[in-house]
Amino acid sequence: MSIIERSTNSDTPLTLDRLAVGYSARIDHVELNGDRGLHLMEMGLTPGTTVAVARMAPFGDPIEVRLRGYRLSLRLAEAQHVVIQGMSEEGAQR
Amino acid sequence: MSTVHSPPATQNRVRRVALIGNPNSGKTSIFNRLTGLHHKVANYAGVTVERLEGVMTSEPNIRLLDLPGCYSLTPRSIDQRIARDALLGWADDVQRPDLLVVVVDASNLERNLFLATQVVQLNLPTVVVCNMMDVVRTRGHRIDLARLEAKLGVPVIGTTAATGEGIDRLRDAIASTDTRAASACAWCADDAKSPQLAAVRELVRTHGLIDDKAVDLVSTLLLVPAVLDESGPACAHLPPAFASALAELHRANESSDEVSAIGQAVHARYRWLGECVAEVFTRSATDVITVSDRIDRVATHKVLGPVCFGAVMLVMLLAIFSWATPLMDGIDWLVGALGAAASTLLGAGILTDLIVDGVIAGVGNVVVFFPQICILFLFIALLEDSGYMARVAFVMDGLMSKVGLHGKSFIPLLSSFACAVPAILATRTIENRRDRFATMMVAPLMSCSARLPIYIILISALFGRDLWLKTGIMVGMYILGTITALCVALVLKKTLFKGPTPTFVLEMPPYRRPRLGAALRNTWDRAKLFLTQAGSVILAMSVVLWALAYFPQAPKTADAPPGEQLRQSYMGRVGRTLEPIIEPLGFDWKIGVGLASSFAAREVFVATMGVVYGVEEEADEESLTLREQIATATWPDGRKVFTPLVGVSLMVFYALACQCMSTLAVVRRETGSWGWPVFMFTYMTALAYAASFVVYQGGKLLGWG
Repeated sequence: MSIIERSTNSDTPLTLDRLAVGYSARIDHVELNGDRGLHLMEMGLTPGTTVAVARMAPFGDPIEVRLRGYRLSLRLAEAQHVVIQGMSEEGAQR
Repeated sequence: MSTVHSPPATQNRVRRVALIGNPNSGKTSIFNRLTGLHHKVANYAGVTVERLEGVMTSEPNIRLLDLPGCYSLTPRSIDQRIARDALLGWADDVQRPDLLVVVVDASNLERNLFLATQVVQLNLPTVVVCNMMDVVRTRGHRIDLARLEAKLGVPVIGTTAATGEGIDRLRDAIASTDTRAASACAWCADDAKSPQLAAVRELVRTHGLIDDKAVDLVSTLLLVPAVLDESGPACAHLPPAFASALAELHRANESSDEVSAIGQAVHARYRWLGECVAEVFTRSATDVITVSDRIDRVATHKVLGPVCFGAVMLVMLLAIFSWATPLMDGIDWLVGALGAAASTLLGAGILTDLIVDGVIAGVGNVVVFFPQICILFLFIALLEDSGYMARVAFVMDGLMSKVGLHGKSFIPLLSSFACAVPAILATRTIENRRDRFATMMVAPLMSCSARLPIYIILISALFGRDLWLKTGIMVGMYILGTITALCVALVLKKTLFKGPTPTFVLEMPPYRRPRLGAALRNTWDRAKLFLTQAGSVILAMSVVLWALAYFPQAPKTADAPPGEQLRQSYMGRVGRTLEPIIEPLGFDWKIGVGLASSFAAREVFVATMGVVYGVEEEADEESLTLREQIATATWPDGRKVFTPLVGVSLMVFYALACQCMSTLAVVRRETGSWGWPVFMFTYMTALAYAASFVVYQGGKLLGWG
């Protein structure tokens, strides 16, 4: 089974919105376009941080992630700005 | 600002202490502990952000100000801008604090310290409070507070606001005159570097806006782009010369270099924090699955989540509808009794009429909402306090975002089924201005409880005995309002409130047991604010409407038919003038009078119809005589006025029109301008007219007339 939810083109960098529930990854960088990326970084989504996708909302859009010992929900459109690498299954850290 | 050794006799010197911290850090609980619940709530000048102030118990010279919660000093909403400006001494109506108290959730240290280090860097006397130490202990973690103190260079005090642990030490720290700025702040490298940043620093320095040591940080904050339009002018309180120079800099250079420079600074701060936390925080080896996790497995589950949520909402609506009813009846009775007492006391006369029918009845119109407002506020306070509110937004956002709204818009829209007034006040939880205003503008389209009497009397007078048909029409009215609200929201978000989709970045705080006492106090504070602030506008408008129905006085003749006064008053004339305009909707002038008089409060329609049709008894929706009158009323040519089609047309009009001055007054209050209530009234009335027109004319074409 693939860790990645949607089929992905190997050329495009992997982003947080495509990480499946129950998996974790390390943040490579956050795309900074105006304030949106900065906002995410200020909430702790900085390069090198481990994030785990905890769950998805019933209607499929926001997702809940865990990082730095707390929980944050964000929309897929925002998670798209977070480029990740080094996925693993065990990262269901709390 | 460093160690000021004032003599011990500082009794008459007032010291201002500002509390700041992340949302959910327990900041307000600390505030309550320090002030012993003696506080006053107001708004900051010009905006509806709650301002909580109090005096520290046993230290009358120490004034505490509880600032809005924020995650960083970058303002992303009005609340956060106020917090920043108050800290920096830039706000018009807040004096620069002498001491800053940063409240930190010790169980979520890393992210909370982000703000704390920013505040420490402002180089003002600061105390850091590590709250929720009990949670840290139960989870088996350990924090070395002494070490953290050494790292930050300011006093660090561990507390548990829930139990009162550590509060005395905090009190001593605040009261001690020896408060100082960070003596040896290990953190100092704000290494954001760019030409533009250098220019802003130069600007901040020359204008002497802030202590030299804080210039770097403050300059970085002032550079963050794009947040300007959301939080209002980013530097509303700064010298105009500085503001224009800053704006010039922003215009001159819009490259992404600045953003990445700021991003680098954020990254560097978190890197430092990561190392710092690794030193002071010992994570328990056996990290347990928290209770919150277990609850969320149900509360945000694909199937069970919405079910749970539906149950909570159902209880809330039932409470608003049913618990409020006896109280509302009581208030109605009280207002009636008060009016009766006033008339006997004052005797007949115009002054008595003004006081009884204008002032007392007008105020009664507002006060009657009070129970519903209080119950809704109480629920919101409990939901927020428990942490469930974040889950509501999480669960509903997928649906709400389809019409361009935010997950947090859901509660206000739902509350509107009870009453739009508290719903509009509840939009305060939405940070983004565009989302908040869009929600506010459509909330009154949801069928509120004041529309119910109108639906009931028309349906029961015109639709015979078929229970299914009657229920169907009633439900149809509610669906009509809801769908229209969602469509209008979609249109508004694509036109008037067009703009980049705001970020939906929401912390999911751990569940906590809500505290009833705190929630009740919160409810009372908010409700009181509503009464005093919206009340005055509503009172004034009540008196105006009373006068329109009262003047000119009809000659007092014995054989004047009942309702003659209203018929020939200005209000009645308005109704008659309206007749050609409303005839295409199927309405005659009597309905016109009803429409005109229910501008203030739509439920008045039923009573007005009672007067117009000369029903002797006091008319309400149960009144049989009024039903018969409505069912048998005719045009001069003998046609029936109220055909079922006219009934539907009239109900559609009431479903969509904005006939509630309390709503308009509250919108005025919350938006700070008359433009928005005028817009709301205009578009809703136009929509109501158009919809009624389509219903009536369309129905006639189909031969239902």
